[in-house]
Amino acid sequence: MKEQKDPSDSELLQAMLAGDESALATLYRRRQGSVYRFALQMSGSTALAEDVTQDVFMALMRSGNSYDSDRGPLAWFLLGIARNVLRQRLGRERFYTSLADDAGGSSGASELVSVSDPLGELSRNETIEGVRKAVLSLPTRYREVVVLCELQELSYAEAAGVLGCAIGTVRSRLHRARGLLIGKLRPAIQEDEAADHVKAARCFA
Amino acid sequence: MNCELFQPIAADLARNQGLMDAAVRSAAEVHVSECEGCAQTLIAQKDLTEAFGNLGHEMQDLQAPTDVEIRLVAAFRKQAAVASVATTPRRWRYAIGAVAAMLLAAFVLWGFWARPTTVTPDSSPAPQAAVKAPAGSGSDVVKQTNSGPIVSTPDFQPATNRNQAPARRRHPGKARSDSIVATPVLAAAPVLPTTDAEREVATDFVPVGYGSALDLQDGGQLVRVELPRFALARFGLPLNMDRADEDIKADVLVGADGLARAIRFVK
Repeated sequence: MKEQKDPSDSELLQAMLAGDESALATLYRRRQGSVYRFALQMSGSTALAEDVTQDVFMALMRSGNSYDSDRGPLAWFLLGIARNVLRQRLGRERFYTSLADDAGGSSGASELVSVSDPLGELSRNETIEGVRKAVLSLPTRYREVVVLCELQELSYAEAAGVLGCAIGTVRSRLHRARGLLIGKLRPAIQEDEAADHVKAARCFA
Repeated sequence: MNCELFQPIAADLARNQGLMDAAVRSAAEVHVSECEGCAQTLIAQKDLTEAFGNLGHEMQDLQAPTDVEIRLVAAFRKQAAVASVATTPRRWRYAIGAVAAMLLAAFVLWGFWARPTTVTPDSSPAPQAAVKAPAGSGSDVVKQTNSGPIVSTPDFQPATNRNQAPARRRHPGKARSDSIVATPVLAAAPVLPTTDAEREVATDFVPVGYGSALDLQDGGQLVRVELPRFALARFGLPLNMDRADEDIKADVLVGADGLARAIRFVK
């Protein structure tokens, strides 16, 4: 018995553009996750991520003919649209989440990092929120490569395809972003260490 | 390897991307074992990589809410509906334009076909009861033949001064017609003997177009023309295909408005 092959993204796109509603549903269910997660990791806002996801597929419905399969998979194309939509939205709304603003919060990075070996404790579940906020505090060009290469686990080449830049650019931006993140997490650790000393003094007092 | 060379590759070493040359990797590992600062850097990078892994793993199953899909499908249906509405009138516009063009072309062709190119006024009365021309309106009978003589048909009372009636070309510029072959009328042509005219056999008048031959209150004219023989087929009359190239005589009943009302074929 011949096994039925799932239609490719390109085939689904063509069917969708021809008016096939089921093709839209299939394509959406297949690709919405990565788009939504990318938008969420880039913005930190679920509402904005929803809007971006919707805008991406709306744009695909309107101008899906502009997709060229020779330039890369449809997933890259969708992430590229999401990136552009996000840039517009973030530029308008100035949607920034500063690590410093949340440092004193209950889920701040300083509280989640151990005093003795702060980066060694980042693997714990409690550190996830702190890392997420640290990523959000990065400039957009660095945040993009972190989200794509580290969180979406794309290769340098794939990230370069999404961003439309050279692989070397992705690599250098990622190196710089990682350095910024480590640099952002260390002061928070030091503050947390100082706060622990204050708390101890008060207790003894 | 020294610290300056190690720092750029620390992230790749921690991410274990496999992009690094084996020799460079081994040199970096040797350097890490000797340099405590670079060892700390590598540990920090590895921890960061692990933290990214945890964050990515935690968000791995996140999906957009189902509302988004519902809104998208609704938008898709709306877009499809708008597209169909936008294209339907365009299609109708083309269809209406095509029908109008066809009607116009048919009307023009019919006008050319129905109007004889040459008519000669005659004072003879209307040929049959089909033509109720008022007195003095001058229902005309014109016989046009290749040889040019004006002959009277048995259905009409020949005019006494027909040979003196001047031939008048009413529409000289419309002499062309693929269905009507009109020949010049020779005004001085002699009237043929009645015996020849009596030999003609004519069909009944067949209405042309939607107008009735009975509505000729304003008078009319009977015009003798020659048509290609295959015109018989147009009116449902039998046609001998062997003689399809030949011409056949016909009398066209033309109203005062210049439009043909009826036709009969004469043998």
